[in-house]
Order: sequence, then structure tokens, then C-alpha cells
Amino acid sequence: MQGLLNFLYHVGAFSRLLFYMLRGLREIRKLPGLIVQSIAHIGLGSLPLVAVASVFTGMVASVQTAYQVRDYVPLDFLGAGVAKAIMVELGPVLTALVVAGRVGAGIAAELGTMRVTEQIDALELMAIDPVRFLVLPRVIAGTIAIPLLTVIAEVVALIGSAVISYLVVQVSFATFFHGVQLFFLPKDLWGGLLKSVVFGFLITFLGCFYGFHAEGGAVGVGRATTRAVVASALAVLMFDYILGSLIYG
Amino acid sequence: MIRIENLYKAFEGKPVLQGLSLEIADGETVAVLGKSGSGKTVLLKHIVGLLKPDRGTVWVDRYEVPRLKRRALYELRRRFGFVFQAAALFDSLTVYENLALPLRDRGVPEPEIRRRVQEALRRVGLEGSENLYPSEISGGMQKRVGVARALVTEPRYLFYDEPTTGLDPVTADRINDLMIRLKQELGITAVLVTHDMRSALRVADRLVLLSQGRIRVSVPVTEVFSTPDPELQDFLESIRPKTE
Repeated sequence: MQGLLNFLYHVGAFSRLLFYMLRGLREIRKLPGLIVQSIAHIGLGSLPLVAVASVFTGMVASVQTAYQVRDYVPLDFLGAGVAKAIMVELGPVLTALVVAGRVGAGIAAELGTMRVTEQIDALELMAIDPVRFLVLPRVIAGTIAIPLLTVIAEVVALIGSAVISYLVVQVSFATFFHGVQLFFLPKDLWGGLLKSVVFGFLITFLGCFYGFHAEGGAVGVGRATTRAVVASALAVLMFDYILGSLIYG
Repeated sequence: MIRIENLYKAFEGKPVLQGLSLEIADGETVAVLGKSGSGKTVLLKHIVGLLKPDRGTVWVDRYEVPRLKRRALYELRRRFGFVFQAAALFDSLTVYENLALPLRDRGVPEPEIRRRVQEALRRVGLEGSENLYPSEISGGMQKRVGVARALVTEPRYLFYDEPTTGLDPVTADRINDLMIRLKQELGITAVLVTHDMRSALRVADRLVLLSQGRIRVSVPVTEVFSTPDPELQDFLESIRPKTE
């Protein structure tokens, strides 16, 4: 019973925040500066971490794929298999999980602190809609920045993969990238990017949601941050399956 | 004018306000005193529409606050200035940006914003601190920036929530002096929520004592010492010099 009530509470609270965000769109002319600032924070701030995660992902993908298929598929096709895995799955999901840890937690902690130190009340009393001012720019920025990060992550992962393929299993760059092109379908790219748009929305929305509803001082901020990261990671994995089934199923 | 009628509010079944009624005239400064947890801040949050009452209502000018739709409530809030207990400054913004924020949001032209920010900072004695971040200034200065931010929108009503709490006596006196000067210079209607009797006696015209969710005493400050209420006398005791 408690679980059902908790579920209904979350459905109601998510819907309310979503409604307030849509209402805030009426004043979108006040947002461009804040959106650009948030894109810089989310995108540029996460770039080094995403790049490092991606290069290792690409390298591991090469080694693992080579190990699994070398007995029955010529390694000339290594690039094809790795590229598909990166574009369809690894790029969007790993970027999202890395960003969920950094950005989702950061947003929840920032907004949670603003809540418990009455900064959000201060906005209300200045007649500034806090959802329009704090939530909307971050969610729009996340929805734009995370797909851009995903593209960069995929490029970096492919380069890492190509280098390791050359060094470990002696597949030349030309052969590797020929393989990438050979079985490429546009759906591989746009499907992955569509997923990353949804992930970007989910991560920033959940970070904002838990931060915005934080209560009870530093402990409350910590709890909100943990919930934001856990919920974002679970939502990313759940929507990865749903979208993956719809696009590629 | 502010009129509070028979206000009731409980949190998780625990009553905080129990039939509170109060009227605050234009230009008046009222100090609301009470022990911790007596509902002082809850009362203030009802006046500005941050909380909705379980029963009763609040009138500000001709508007019934709990019944206002969001847009009308925001419109009404433009008449308010609110000084928070912990200043509630935006720590990612400089002092200047903190003060400019509500004006920018209202579409005030930038030269006018600059003039009003500088005027507000001058009033609180903080000229030259425009480029500092809240983390770079002392607690007392943060409170004064909080006052400046409340003033910059030229409010009709000014609410102070425990403005001297947590400050040393010298800094607290500077905040008191500031509140007195603003009252004399601007004649704004003000509500001061505090448990600092010294501050209340120096700044307010009238003193209201909250107890058990109701107004226990409401007297002009000139009559405080002659009011034979034991709880009020307990508060006065706190500022009398102790003798063996």
C-alpha cells in the first residue's frame, strides 16, 4: 500500500513539475542566456570525463569483440561490429551514465542546497518563477548537450577502438574504417542519438526534481543527490530497453 | 494594509497557528516576538503567500492572498521585500547580480538597474562591494546585502525574518540602526519577526507576542514595560542587566 502511494505521489509530482516547465516556456525569451550557460556547464564540464570513459570503452570494445568473433568471423569486419555497438548502445548509454553521475548529482545538490537555504523561496518572493528560472534552462540544456556529448564520445570511442585494433590484433586503420562503413545504417546513428536526447531530458529532469524537492538540511541534500543519481541511472537503463526495442526491435 | 483573520495552520497534525488575527496599518513597523517554534516565520510565510492556511485568511491591500492565482500572487509580491534569516543570497552571483536579478526579470533597462543597485547598496553602506561574491563577505554584510536586495525593487511592505539572529551584538546593532533609518527615510510598512527583544524595542512601533498559535499581547512599544503579562515580562527579563 505504501509502495503504491509512493508511486502515485511520484507520478503526481513529476506531472506537476512537467506542467510548470511547460508553463515556463511562455517566458522562453528570458531563457537563452541561462540555457547557453547550462550547456557550457553540462557539455564542456563533462567533456574530459566523457572523453576518457569513451576512449577506454572503444578500446575494450575492440579487444572484447576480437576475442569473441576471431574464430568464426574475419577480423576485417571488426570495425563494423564495434561501430554498431558504439553507435547503438555503448555511446549513448555510457555517456548518459557518466553524465548522470556528474551532472545529475550536481544539479540535485545545487538545487537542493538552494531549497534548504531558502534561495528558492527568495526567487518566489521576488516574483521569479523558480521552475522557469532554475529547472527549465537546465533540462533544455541537458537535452541539447548530452546528444552533442554522445557524438563526441562515439568519435573518440571509434578512434580508441581503431588504435587498439591496430596495436593488438593488427587490423589496419583503412580496414577498420572500411568495416565501419560497410554495414553502416543511418538508423544506427540517429537511433542512438534519439536515445541520448531522451537520456539528456531524463537525467536533468530527475536531478532538478529531487533537488527541487529536497528538505531537511545537509542530510536532505545528500539524500536528494543519491536519489537523483540512482533514479537517473535506472531510468536510462529502462528507457534504453524501451527505445532500443522500438527503434531496432 | 495587512489584515490576518482567524488563521489556522498545522503541520503533520501538529497545530502551529490556532486562530491568529492581526492588523498592520500602513507605515507601521510591527515586531512579532515569540519563542522558537511559536509560528512567527509561519505567519510571515502566510502573509507573502508561501504557505496556504488550513482555515482563516490574509488580506494585503484589497487582495485576499490565499485565493490569488499564481500570476496575481506574483504581481502582489512585487510590492514585497523580504529579508531572510540566513540572507538567502544566490551564491553563484555577485552582490551586484544578486540585486539586479529581480529588476532584470522585470525588464528594467540596464542603466536604471545600475542606478537602483547603487542606491540600494549606498543605503546599507556597502558601496564598492558590487563585484564580491556572498562567500567573500561576512555574515553581517550578507544580511545588509539581503536588505539591499529587498529594497532594490522599491517595495511597499518589508518583511524581516530574524535579521539579527546569529550576529554579534555590534553587528546586530548596525542592522537595527539600518532598519530604523529605512523606516525614517522610506516610511515603509514593516514586519519584523524576531526573538531579540532589544531589536524589537529599538525598531518597532508596536510589539506583538505570539504564544500557542495566537496573539497573546499586542501593545505599542512605549507601553511594553507597563504591561503586566508574565510571558512578555520573561522576554523583557532577557535584556535587563542581571544583579546579584
